[in-house]
Order: sequence, then structure tokens, then C-alpha cells
Amino acid sequence: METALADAVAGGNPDLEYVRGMAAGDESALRGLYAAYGRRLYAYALRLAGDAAVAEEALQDSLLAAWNGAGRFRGDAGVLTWLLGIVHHQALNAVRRKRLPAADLEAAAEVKDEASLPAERAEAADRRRALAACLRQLPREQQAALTLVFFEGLTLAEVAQVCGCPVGTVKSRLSAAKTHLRRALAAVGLEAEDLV
Amino acid sequence: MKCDELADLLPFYAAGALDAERHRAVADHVAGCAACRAELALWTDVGAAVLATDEALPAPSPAVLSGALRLARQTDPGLLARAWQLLVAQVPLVRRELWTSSALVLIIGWVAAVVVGADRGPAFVELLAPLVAVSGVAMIYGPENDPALELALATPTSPRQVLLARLVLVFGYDLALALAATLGLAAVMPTGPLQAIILGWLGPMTFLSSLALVLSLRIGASGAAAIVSALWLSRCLVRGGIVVIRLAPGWIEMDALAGAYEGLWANPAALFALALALVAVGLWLVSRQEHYLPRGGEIG
Repeated sequence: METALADAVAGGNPDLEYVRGMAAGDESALRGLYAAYGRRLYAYALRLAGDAAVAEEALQDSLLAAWNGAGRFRGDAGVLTWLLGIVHHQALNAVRRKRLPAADLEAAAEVKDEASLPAERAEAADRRRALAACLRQLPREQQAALTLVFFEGLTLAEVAQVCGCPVGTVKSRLSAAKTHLRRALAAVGLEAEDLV
Repeated sequence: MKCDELADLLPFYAAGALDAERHRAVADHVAGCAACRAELALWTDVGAAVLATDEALPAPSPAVLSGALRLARQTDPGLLARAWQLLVAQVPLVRRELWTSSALVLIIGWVAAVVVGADRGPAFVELLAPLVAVSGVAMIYGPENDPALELALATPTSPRQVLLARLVLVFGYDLALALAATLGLAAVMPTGPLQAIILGWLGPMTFLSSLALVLSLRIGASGAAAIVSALWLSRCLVRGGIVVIRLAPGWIEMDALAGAYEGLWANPAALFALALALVAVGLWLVSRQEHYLPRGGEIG
């Protein structure tokens, strides 16, 4: 445990310097960390909350939680993974407080297609736009998982750590997301094979 | 690798988050499997779509950071809570065996005291409590005991705070153990007034621990523990009449000398005062010693 932290500091990890600074009450450390990761944390909060105001509130609560918890950070996980884990928790709490419809894997099995695409066939160049439209229809937890993988660049184990769930759950979320995307594309006439 | 084993890896392959070995395994398989190539193509497009949409997200309002800072100032846990956090943070950094070995020694002492009975039983606790604290406190600081010390010194927590926190932690633990042993003894045999027994070990324990602390900063943990333990044993031997002080017979009354030596050990107030002075010396030493070490920003 100590070794992980010692190695990271010996390797000149600036993130850890920020966390240590926060633990000591140094506000500029929180500013530095926010400059480095604020946007990415917000992206994740927004995916989970689905609402900009709720995401901002969750992000603010997360920064406060990170500030108060910095002294207990031991360096077992990466700093970004730790922060995303806090955001995950705070965003879900905010969603519950606001009584927003919770991200529900089952309820979203059917992806609506009316908002997906114009009727005309998408050109090859439009595929990503089509996918982006479908992405917004996914259950939030699946969107969040995709954000962790592709935007944050986390490994499977790290995604599980952030979500506080088993790796099997992460795998099934990703697999479900893929199924939904493929089905949604098929519904607008873009078969998965077209994407090859 | 089979297709179904590979399916879970594909998104991470597309995102470039696999280790070299698995990355190669996936690449090899995909090269020869049209079905998995199609899956990968879907994931690659999904990844690009996620990146495009997430990068296009608006930035959070600047009020988020300022609000968090304002809340952080409001909820500053205060001095006591910070001190408590510092204490808790030191727990994993103190040598682990210290906790069990200290407890074990006092448990054995307690059993021995119970066996020998009420006459000489309390003397066991009185003998052992300072010894346990001395060996514990001698080990709280310095690179030979703490692989993370260098790291601790690179943090904004000052070496003095670290030293003090560990001293409180280890000494407090040994104090609790000794108290438990004393009360445990009183529970099973008539020991006489508890206050006398507790003061009997508390004074020497406090003084010897602080002496061990100062010595450990200069000569290391084992040397400090050995010297201070010997000092404590000398008192027990003199008091027990096992060693009789014979210095310039006829010039100084032997009994008077032995009496003065014993008098010091039996005077808790003097011992506490000496201990305070020694802790102050220790704190001064440690801040002077570590002064030249690199601070946070210069590491790496």
C-alpha cells in the first residue's frame, strides 16, 4: 500500500502531489486537479445524471468529497479512477435526490427510433452521427460505462472500481450497450454489417 | 483465444486500454476472424462516436469550482479533526508487528502476574509496561522502520507533526495496554490501591519512552531501545537489592545513593517534566534533521 504511493511519488506523479496538497488544505492543489480533470469528471457526471444542472451539482459535491477525503487516499488506485469513483457515487446520489428517473437497464431495452435518424439512408460519413444519436438513447449507466472506456480510457478493472460493481456487471453493461446500438441502427435501416 | 472470450476485450482493444500481451492476442485473432473483425469495427465506431460526443460536451460552469472551494472552507474539519486524520493516516505507516508484539508481551506479563499472585504480581506489570512502550516508541521514526518515511517527508505535513502523531499513537496504544493489564489484574486479585500501581509504571513509562524517542533519532531504534531498557532494568535490579551500589564506600552512604536513585523513579511529577523536555528536544531534532530533505515540489 505504502509502496504503491511511494512508487507513484518517486515517479513524479503530479496528480499525487495535488492529492497530498489537498490533504494539507492547499486550495491551489484542488484548482490544479480541477484544471487537469474537471472536464472529464463533468462528462462522466453528465452521462450518469443526464442533466447539466444535476451533473454540476454532483461535480461540486465530488470536489468537496475529494477535498475532505484526500487524506485517506492511499494510492492503490489511480487518482483519476479515485475521482471518477467519487463522481459516480455523487451523481447517482444527486439523481436519487432529484427523483430523476434512475438509469434502468431493463426499462431501456427498447431504444426508441423516432429521434435517431432522418429517414434517408445515412452515408458512410454519417454513421458516427447516427451512432451518436443512438448513444443518447442508451440507459445512463451504459452511456457512463462507454464514457469510462472510450473517453476516460480506463481498463476493465478500473471501470469496475469506479462503478463499485463486479467486472462481470461492466461486461454485461457494455454488451447490452452494443446490442442496443446495433438494434437501434437496424431500426433506422443501418445494419451493423454496414458499419464494417 | 476463442471468439466469446474475446468479445469482452474488444471495446478495451478499440480504446487502446489493453496490456501489450492481450493487445497482441486480440490483434492476432481478429486478423483471422471475420466475425470478430465486424464486432471490432462496431466498437471502433462506437468509440469514435463516444469521443466525439463527450468532447463536444459543454464545460462545467466556473461556479462549480468556486462553490466547492467555498464549501470546503465552511466545512473545514477544524484542528481536532485534522489531528485525528493525521493520527489515522499514521496507523498503516507504523510497523505492523509493533501492535501485536506489544499486546503479546503484556498479556504474557499479565498471565505471569496472575500465576505469582497478589504479592509480586503487580510488579510484573510495573516492570513490563515501560519496556513495551520503550521498544515501541524507539521504532516510530526513521528510515530503518518506515519505508514510506521519505514519502511522508515529501508531503506538506511537517516531520514534527508526523513524529508527534506517531508518538501519540504508539504511546497511547501502550498506555491503553498497560491500563488494561492493571485493571485486568485488579479484577482477579486484591492488588491494593490502583492509583499507586498505575503511577508506579506511568511515570517511568513516560520518561523512558521520550528518552528512547530522542535516542532513536540519534543512534537508531535498536540502540535506543537497548540503552533505555538497560536503564530501566538497572532501577529494578537496584530496587530489588539484586545489585547493590558500591561507590566509594564510606564517602557516600550506599543506602542514600540507592534511595536517591529510587526516589527519582518514584517521583512521577519529575519524570513527566523530564519527559516533556525530552519530547521537545526530539521535535527540535527531527525538524533539524529533515530540513535538508527535498520538499513536495522538488520530488521527481
